[in-house]
Amino acid sequence: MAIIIIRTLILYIVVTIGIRLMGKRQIGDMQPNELVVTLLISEIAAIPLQDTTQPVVNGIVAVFMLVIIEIVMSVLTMKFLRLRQLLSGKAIIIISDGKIDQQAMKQVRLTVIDLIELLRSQEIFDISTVAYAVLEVNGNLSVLLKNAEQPVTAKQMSIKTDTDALAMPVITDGRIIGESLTAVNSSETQLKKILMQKNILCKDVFLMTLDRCGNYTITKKEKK
Amino acid sequence: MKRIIAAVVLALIVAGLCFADVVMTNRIYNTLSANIKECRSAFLQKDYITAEKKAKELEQNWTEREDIFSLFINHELIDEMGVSVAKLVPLAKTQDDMFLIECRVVEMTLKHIKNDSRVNLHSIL
Repeated sequence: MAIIIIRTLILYIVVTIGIRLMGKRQIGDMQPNELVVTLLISEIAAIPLQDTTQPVVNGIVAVFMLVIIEIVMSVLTMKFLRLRQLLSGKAIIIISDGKIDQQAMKQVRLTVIDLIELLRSQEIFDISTVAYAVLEVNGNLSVLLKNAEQPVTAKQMSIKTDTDALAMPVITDGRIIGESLTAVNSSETQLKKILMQKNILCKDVFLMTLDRCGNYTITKKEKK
Repeated sequence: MKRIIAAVVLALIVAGLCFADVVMTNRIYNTLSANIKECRSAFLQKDYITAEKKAKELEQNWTEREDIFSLFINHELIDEMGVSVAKLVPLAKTQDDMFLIECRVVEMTLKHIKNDSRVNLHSIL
């Protein structure tokens, strides 16, 4: 039993390192080869866990090899477009200029029901509002609505807007995040000044966000 | 760039482990193989005392190297080897002809372990 516990720990660390080295992707956004590698890694890591007669090193080497292959392939696909197309396929335009390309749909084995489902997932319930729809290699549908159907922007209405600013979490669970403070061009001193004005202690803050323009939101910890 | 460096580091680790596997397996095979030949040769010459002595030597060599082997080889094979090696000393003591059979079993198991770690069509497929 203890052997399984230790092996699980070792393989957990190895798989985590492997997945971390492969880079960040949500499952739905993975390229086909990335999905293959992720599935293989999980299967391979399980073998030494279930079968204690198998050396752990075999599992570790196999996981590392998959990670190496994945990193090398990702570098090569970045440099060689043809290779990328071979491995991941190409995005296909399904709706062009408001017209459904039925040949393209046949090519990717996409049914009308599938298309309507994908449009609904984009909150588009009327296909006639779509100018272009592109089926990406990961199966997502990217949609461009017709100009007349697109939401109005502040620019079109000639409305002045505030400067774009990204709000970063600067305090989480009572702890100050130094990197976020630097990103929003602020400092601990300024942060503490804001908290003093609000009569709040840092340790009592559940979440505080701050942006470059000085706009902030504070959520206090709930009292038990 | 970081990922490429990480891939290179991992590749070096993998290469190191593979190299260690081949070197260790060959070294242990050569040592134990020589031991088992001496055992069998002594027994065939009816020098049972030497056969027993060599069998003890083999058992000691096996015990010392078993842990290293277990890093790379299937543990079931290692257990089989251990059982066969353990039988040799009592068989040599009682001058039982089964000694020769067990020597052959040990030899074949060693060969099997060595061939399994070699890169060839048989192992790959």
